[in-house]
Amino acid sequence: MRILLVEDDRQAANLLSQGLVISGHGVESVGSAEDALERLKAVAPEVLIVDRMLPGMDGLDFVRILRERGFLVPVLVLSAIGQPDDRIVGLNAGADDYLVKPVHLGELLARIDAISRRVTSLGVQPKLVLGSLDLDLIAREARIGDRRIDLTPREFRLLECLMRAAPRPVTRRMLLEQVWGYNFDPQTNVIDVHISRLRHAIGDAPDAPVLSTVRGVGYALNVS
Amino acid sequence: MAAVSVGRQFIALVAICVIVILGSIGAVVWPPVQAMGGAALDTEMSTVAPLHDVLPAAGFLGVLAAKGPSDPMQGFEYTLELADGAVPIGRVPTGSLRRAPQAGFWEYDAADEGQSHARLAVRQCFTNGDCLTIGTRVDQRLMGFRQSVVALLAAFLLGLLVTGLHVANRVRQTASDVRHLKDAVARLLSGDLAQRLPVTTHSEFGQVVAQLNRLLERIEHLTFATRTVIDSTAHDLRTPLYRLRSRLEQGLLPGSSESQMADTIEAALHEIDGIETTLDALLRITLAESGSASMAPVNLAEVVADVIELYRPLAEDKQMTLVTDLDAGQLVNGNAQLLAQAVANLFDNAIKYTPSGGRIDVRVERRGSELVVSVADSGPGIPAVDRARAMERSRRLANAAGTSGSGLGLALVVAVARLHGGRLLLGDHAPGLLAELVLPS
Repeated sequence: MRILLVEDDRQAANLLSQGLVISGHGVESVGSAEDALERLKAVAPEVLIVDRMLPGMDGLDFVRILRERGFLVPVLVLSAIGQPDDRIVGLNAGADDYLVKPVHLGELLARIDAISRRVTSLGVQPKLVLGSLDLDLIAREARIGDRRIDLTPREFRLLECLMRAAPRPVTRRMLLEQVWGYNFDPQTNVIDVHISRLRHAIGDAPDAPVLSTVRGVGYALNVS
Repeated sequence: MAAVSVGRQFIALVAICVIVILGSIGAVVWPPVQAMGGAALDTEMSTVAPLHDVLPAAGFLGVLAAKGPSDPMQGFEYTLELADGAVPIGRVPTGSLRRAPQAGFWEYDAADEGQSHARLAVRQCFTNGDCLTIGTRVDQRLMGFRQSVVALLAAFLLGLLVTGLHVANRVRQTASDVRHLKDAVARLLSGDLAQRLPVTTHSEFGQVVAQLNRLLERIEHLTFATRTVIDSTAHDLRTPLYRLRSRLEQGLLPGSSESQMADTIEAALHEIDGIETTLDALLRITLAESGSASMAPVNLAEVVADVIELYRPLAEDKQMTLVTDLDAGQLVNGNAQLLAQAVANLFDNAIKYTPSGGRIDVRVERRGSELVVSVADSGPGIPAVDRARAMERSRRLANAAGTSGSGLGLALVVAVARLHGGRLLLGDHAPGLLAELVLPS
């Protein structure tokens, strides 16, 4: 994916670029919002990563201008200030996601993946299918082959998140945000327990997708 | 210095005002009062008496007769007793004269419109034996009234003077208080926060100073708290940083295999995660304490129900009995995320410290004007002596070592409670811990 990184800290920008490049993305890095506006047309990025604190124009103002000019490119805002309300402010400015530094590469990659897909699959999908797992988003029903699996509404949303991202991993924080609406990390890894219950519900039929734990990143649903 | 000169200016101003008022009142009031009193009688006597020796007896009588009663407020009345005992003019009843309180003057009673009044008189006898008595026709009671007016004025002036002096004194006192305050503030600015301002009066100024002292108290408390936080943070971070460093140094030792390197990196990342968790918890406590979080009406039972739902599988895995009693529809003005995290922390602790097969009771209830979220577990509880410390931003209690978490869980709950104008109460559930998050509704 072509990524335009807007970050004034040269060292942080280099480390982030390296990580993204190793993970298979193409990265162009600029040091200010003004430079980003200049390069936007030429680079035509598929995803923008914008640091909130920039010299000159503020990162959020940059996103607002971007949206005003009609650019629909997915934007992920990075911030060093970890305040619960910041996230809301960031999303209200038109960002697609908001991540507090220090950034974990796995987390960043999973989120880039999620926001890029969110835009390409804007149309309403009535159904998600992965192997023999069938998720009816209208009837709110999950099936493995012919077998209907009983899920609580929360488990259904958990499965939906994982299926939308599959085969890419989803992080714990992403699940907490998207399934529970929490922007804090509980002291105990409660998500793990929910995942193992979901894993149990999916079962181990031969063509059922496998819900695996991706070390240091999160969870991923794969067809074996 | 400016304050002092203001005080002096005020005193001078008050003094000038008093003098001007006294002077003008005196100028207006004194002459008529003078005229009414003995001085007027003396003047009349000194005007009339010389004529006795100059004029023939008949002429003198004529003068006195001509002076007869005219203005009742201003006029005089006369009695002339001749040496031969004759009394050709006898308005003043000389037989009933008595000594007046004023030296050299006489008093007599006169009936006027059926009422008896005391009048003032002077008397002079001439060399030939004649005696002239002049009486005021002015009622002495009226004179008494005049005198009381004068006394009243004097009292008023005295009062004004006393008030002026008192006010001046207060201003001087205030000026000196301000000077002391200035010095004390200067000492405060130089870093001595233990300093308190002297409260010298119970006046509004004294109250302001007392409030400043309370403010100082709070600042000192906050400064102390901040220092404690920095100390404990430094302490909390030094250990994992030290471990991180030693792991990385080991990784650099010659001869490490690739898999050993990978292990080293993994372990280092784990340490960093721990550091991040601690910092994140501290930042959230700071956020809650700074009071800058946005507030909106929050359904408390819903918040608690969502948290229970998040934790239920964890409790079930530990074969715990989870009993809930949530009074629905209770609204609290708050920050939903922070409230959820506070409740999650209470829950987290209850599950973490309660052995398998235990029981947790969760309740949302109204108590008067307050809403209470209570989480009671059947774990070991916290001894009464340790409860206050458990809520501080410090390291975990001795028996909690070895369990995961930043050790700042309850400190965050306290900060969130305070942000909402509430409090966290820790009690004995006998056995177990009873944690109550009390919020104003």
